[in-house]
Parts: sequence; structure tokens; C-alpha cells
Amino acid sequence: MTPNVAAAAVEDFRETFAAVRREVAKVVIGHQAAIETILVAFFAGGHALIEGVPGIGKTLIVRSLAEALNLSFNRIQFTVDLMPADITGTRIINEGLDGRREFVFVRGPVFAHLLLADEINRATPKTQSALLEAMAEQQVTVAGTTHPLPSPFFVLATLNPIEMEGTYQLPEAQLDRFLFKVALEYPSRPELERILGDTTAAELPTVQPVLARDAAPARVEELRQLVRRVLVAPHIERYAADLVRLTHPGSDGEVPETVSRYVAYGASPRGGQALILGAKVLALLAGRVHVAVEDIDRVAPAALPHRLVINFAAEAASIHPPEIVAQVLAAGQRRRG
Amino acid sequence: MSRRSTSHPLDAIRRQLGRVRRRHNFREAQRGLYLLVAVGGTAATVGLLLALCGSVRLFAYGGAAVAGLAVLAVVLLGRDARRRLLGTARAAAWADRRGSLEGRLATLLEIAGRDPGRQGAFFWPLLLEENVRRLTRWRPERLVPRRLPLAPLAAALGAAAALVATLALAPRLRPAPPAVAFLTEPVGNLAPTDLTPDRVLVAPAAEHGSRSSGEPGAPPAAPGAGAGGDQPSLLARLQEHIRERVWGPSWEPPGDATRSADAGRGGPKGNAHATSDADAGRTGTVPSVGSGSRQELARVARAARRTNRGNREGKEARGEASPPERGSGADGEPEQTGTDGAASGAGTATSPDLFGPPTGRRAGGGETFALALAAPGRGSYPMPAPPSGEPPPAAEDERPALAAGQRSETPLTKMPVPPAYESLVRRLFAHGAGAVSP
Repeated sequence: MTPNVAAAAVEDFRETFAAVRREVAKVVIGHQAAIETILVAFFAGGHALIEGVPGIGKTLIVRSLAEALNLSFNRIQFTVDLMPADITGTRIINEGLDGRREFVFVRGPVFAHLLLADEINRATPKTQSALLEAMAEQQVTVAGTTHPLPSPFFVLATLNPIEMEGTYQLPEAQLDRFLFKVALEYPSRPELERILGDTTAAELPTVQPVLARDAAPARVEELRQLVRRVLVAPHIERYAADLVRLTHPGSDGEVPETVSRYVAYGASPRGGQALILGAKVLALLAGRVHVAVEDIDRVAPAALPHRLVINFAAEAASIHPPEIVAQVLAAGQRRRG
Repeated sequence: MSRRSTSHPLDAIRRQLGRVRRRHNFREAQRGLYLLVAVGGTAATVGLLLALCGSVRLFAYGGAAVAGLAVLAVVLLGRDARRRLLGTARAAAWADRRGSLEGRLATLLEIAGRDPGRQGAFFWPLLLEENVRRLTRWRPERLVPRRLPLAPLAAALGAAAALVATLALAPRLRPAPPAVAFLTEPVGNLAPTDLTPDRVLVAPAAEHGSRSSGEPGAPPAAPGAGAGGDQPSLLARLQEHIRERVWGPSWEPPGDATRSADAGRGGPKGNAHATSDADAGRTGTVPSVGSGSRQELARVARAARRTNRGNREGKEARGEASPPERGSGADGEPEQTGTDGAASGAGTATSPDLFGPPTGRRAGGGETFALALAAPGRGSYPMPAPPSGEPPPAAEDERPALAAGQRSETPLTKMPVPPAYESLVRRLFAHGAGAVSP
């Protein structure tokens, strides 16, 4: 492999990423940082959890992303009476032309490249857990039969932070399977003015596909493989491991006092994987073929907070995980010197 | 990719990194050395000034503080140097940061050194090429400009200059000898006003001076021989040693002068200032004192004699006498007294313990020794604090008739004389038997 080929691959990745972001930005006004984070999670091969109040464009972002990537897209509106079979699919008795009856597996909405799990915390834990296998292993098992999910498979779930009535807390195991958690804020005044103007006009903006329909899945997989080839030096891996260790209240070393006081359980090794994978995407976007410490620092606020389980003292003191992660980052930078 | 094509640029990168590291470490070594010189020079200067100008206590505390600060500074310098010196492992990261290479160099060398298997990775050739392309960004001359660390060098030169200047000016810091006038009779009730160490009036103790029962001319006990911490401390000896080294062999510590004067008693030796003053005292002159001061001294001495005579007559009228005046010896046996109340057979020489037993205290100390000295002059003296507030009500006098005619008693005052003058005072008075009383 010559350097020129590698450089061309890097440039191709950057152009594709920028094109997708540009297309999504046509219909989603504002939320540039959130869109970039979601795209980073997508190309890193993970899943994203979006938290935001209703009506600020969560579903629009996912749908626009699917249109821009030209991938299949399904949406599941999670409710309290949703059953796992409603997600994964179920077996039904099908009568053939010859009169014979047999069980046929009918695929659920999970069989799509992009899956929007809207208001995921409204479903019962049993139903929420139906996504566990799909998210972690990219397959579902129904009646003893395993069905692989299409590749690429990307779950984008939304959480409603306000309406807590009739909701169920996401299990930590499921939270851990989301590469990033993105918080969507209210749009700014200029963004809001643009939203009002663009969405009430006669012609609505449309998203043009960046990738060809047939080649899109393979192309996305190719880009994901490119991300995984980015070089990571041992000192970067050490730094990421340090950050994860610093979220553990019982670990040795210079654990921040905030962690010791307010964190019940720290980040899992998946948190470290999320740091490295996200940093690799950011490195490629910066035109580098190696991960720098700055990439890890940029990824950490999206990769670590939702993996921390805070205790009652933190809730009483109104200490939120992002603040703890900020302290962890500061401690990690001090340790790095 | 062949091994040959990748190892050659990698070796060039490693060689350049080695040059950067050596250059940086050489500069840091210079910096540390200069700072060490600065710390040592400053500490030596301050310590020398303390030894020359300060008392033993100041020298002890100040010297300890200076030594402690110097040790702390050296420790901090050592830690700083250890942090600044680049090892092989840190050199790549340092050069990477200084050359704005965004981690390219550190990643390349770390992967090449620890995980050679990744050299076949997809992006390895590109990373190597990027590093080769950026070799000029972190040339040794660019990352470590060859120039002296000016600030540490200036600090070192300044500290050295201060030390040299202190040594050069040290003779001017030598204290001037005091002008001494002495009396053969106790001064008595002199108010301790206007006293100054550079102009002293010397007189024997009136009542508090302990008379020696030994033979005149017998060598007194060695100063500091007794228990009670009179032995000069190590710091005091160190201070005297420094003074002797700086001020030359003519400088004689006051304690040694005392011993030599007391032991020899045949003539002054060693101390030129004491000799001149002693000669002046033998001829009855008052050295270094103006005519106005002489008149004042004479007036003070006459007043003191009148006071002493009045006190003695008053005691005799009341039938009282102090033990020495009754001629009691040290062993309590009554003995014949000669002229001036001296013990029989005491000889005509001045008692070596006329002013009490020698204290043996060293010069430069903050303490004083009690000697019946008084002199007009100006200076600070630990006077009793002035009364403040309303005085307490007087106790009811049971015999007001006696109290009305009672003469007020003024305590005998003593002039606190710094120990530096002890030998001088003793020697002067020992040879001033024929001095002219003003």
C-alpha cells in the first residue's frame, strides 16, 4: 500500500462525511455539533442515544441521515405496551398453496440499516432488552433461530427528559451499548427564525442521497473499515485507559474527589472502546492517520457520561455526569503532564 | 513494503531526535548549573553577612534559615531538572509538541519501538512519509536555539558578584573599638541614661561586685569551664572562625581576649585596640572623649562618690555593714582587712574578679553580663517600662511618722555591656590602678 492510496482514502472519507453532513444540514437547522457526533458514532460502528425535548428535530435528524446515506430506515415508537416481538419480529403460521401450514418468520422493524427507537424509555425493560442483542451482536434470535441484521446497522434512540410519567429507566447494560449520548438543546434565536421560515414555505428542502442505493451499504462498511485502520499509539491507548479508570471510584491513582463522592459505578471497557473509535473518526476528519490526545478529549464528553452511574448524593447535590467527566478529563490531562 | 524502504527514513528520524535530545539536555544542564551557582552564591553572601554583622543568635537562626532555603532550592532545582531533562521515551513527545507535529512523531516512534507488527498497517507508510516530510520542522537548531540560558546565567553572575563584593567590603564591617574611661571607685547610683556601647565609663562594682578570696594574681577559672552552658556553642565558634578568616589574624574573639588578659595579666597581647585603650587608661587620660564629655564624666563620678559616701555613712550610723565591709571572708571567718577593705595579704594588684567572675560568654551574643558600668551617651537600654494608667492605691501606712522621714533608696544600677567589651573592660581596669579620677 503506497502512501498515496492511503491519503486518497482519507480524503475520500472526509469528503463523504462532509457531504452527508451538508445534506442533513439542509433540513435540520442548527444542531451542527450533535449531527457531527451522530455521524461520528455512525462511522465508528456504534449507536447513538439522543436526549432532547419533543419537537426539536430528533426524528428529522435520523430520517435525513438515512436519506443522505441512502440506507433503509425504520422507526419504532416505543410505548408501554410494546412487546419484544414487535421489534424483532415473530413467527406466524402461514398456509401454503398446497394447504400445508408452517411457521414463517416475519421480520420486525429492527431489520433495517438505520433504526429510530423513539422515546425508548417508554417501553418496559423487557422490550428495551429486545434491542440488546441487536445492538451488541447485530442479530436477533427468535424461537431459537438467529437472524442476522443487515449491515450497516445503526440504532438511534431518543429519550424524553421531561415526561417521566410512564417511563422506565434504561438499564445500564443497554445504556452501555450506545457509543455516544447526544444532548439536543433548544435552537438559538437565528436558528429558530430559519426553522420557521424554511419549514413553512411552499417548497420544503429535500435531502439528496450521497451514496448510490445499491452500493451504499458496502460503501459505508468500507468507510467503517477505514476508520478501524487508523493508527493508535500506545500512549494514546494508555491515556484512554487512564480516563476510564479515573471514572472508577474504587480504583487506585488520582481519582478526582467528585468521582469518589458521587459515582457509584464507572465506565466499562466499552467506554474505552468508544473513546478510541470515536477518536479515530475525528483523526480522519482532521486529515490524520493516527489518533492524537486531542481526539480523545473531544470524544470523551459524548462517550463517557451516560456510562456513569451516579449515587444519591450526586442527585441531591445536582451533580450531573458531564460535570464529572469534565473533572475526569482534567485529572487525566494532569496525569499525562 | 520492504524493510529497507521503511527503516532508512525511520533511522534518520531517530538520529535527528537523538540530536535534539542531546542539545536540549545540554542546555538544561547549563541552566541547572547556573541556578545552583546562583543559589550557592546567594546563600554564601547572606551567611557571610550574618556571620560578620549579626549576633550569635541571629547568625544561628538566620544561618539555619538560609541553609534550609538553600537546601530546599537545591531540591526543587533537582526536581525541576529531572523533569526537564529528556529521556529517550519522552523525547519524541517533547519534540512532537514543540514542532507542532500533532502526534505524528510520537506515534511513529512508539509504534516502531513497541509494536513493529503494526508497521504493515494500511496507514503506516503514509505516517512515515508525513514524518519525513516534516523533518525540517523540528530540526535541533529550531527546537533548541543554541544560546545561553540568559536568566539563570545572570542570576549566577549576580550572586557571584554579590559574594565577591561582600568579601571586598568585609573589613569595613569590622566593629570599631569603644572609647573607654574608667574610675577607681564605684560609680554608685548613676541613672542609666544616655548609655552607648561605643563610649563607656568603667568603675568597680559598689556593692554587688563579688570580692575574690583568692590570691591576687592567681589565674582565674577558665571562662566557660563551669557548668551551665557557658561553653561557646558550635555556631559561635563557627562565626568567630569566619570572622577570623575574613578580618585576618588581628581579629581576636572577645572571649579569647578575656582569657588571655586574665591569664597573662602581665600586659596586653593580641588586641591592638585594647592595648591602646589600656595605655591611655594607665596615663589617666580618657581616650576618645571630648572635653565636654570629660567634664560630664567628672561630674558624674563626683556625684557617684558623694552618693556612695552618703550611703556608707548612713549604714554606719545605723550600725549596718555589708559583709565585705565587715571583712568577712569567703569561708565566713573574720579576717583582718587592709586598706580599702581588702583582705589581709591580698596584695596590691587589682583583684581579677573585681567585676565579678568572668562569664565566658562570647561576643556577638544578644546577652549582656552584669558589670557596674555606666557612661553618658545615647543608646537604647532596657529601661523599666514607663507607668501606664492609674497607679494602684497605696497601702495604708501603719507608721506614717517614720515613712515621712525615710530617705528614698535608689537601686544601684548596672550598665549592661555587650560581651564583646568584657575583655577590654577588664584589661583596662586591671591596669588602671593609677588612673586619674576625674
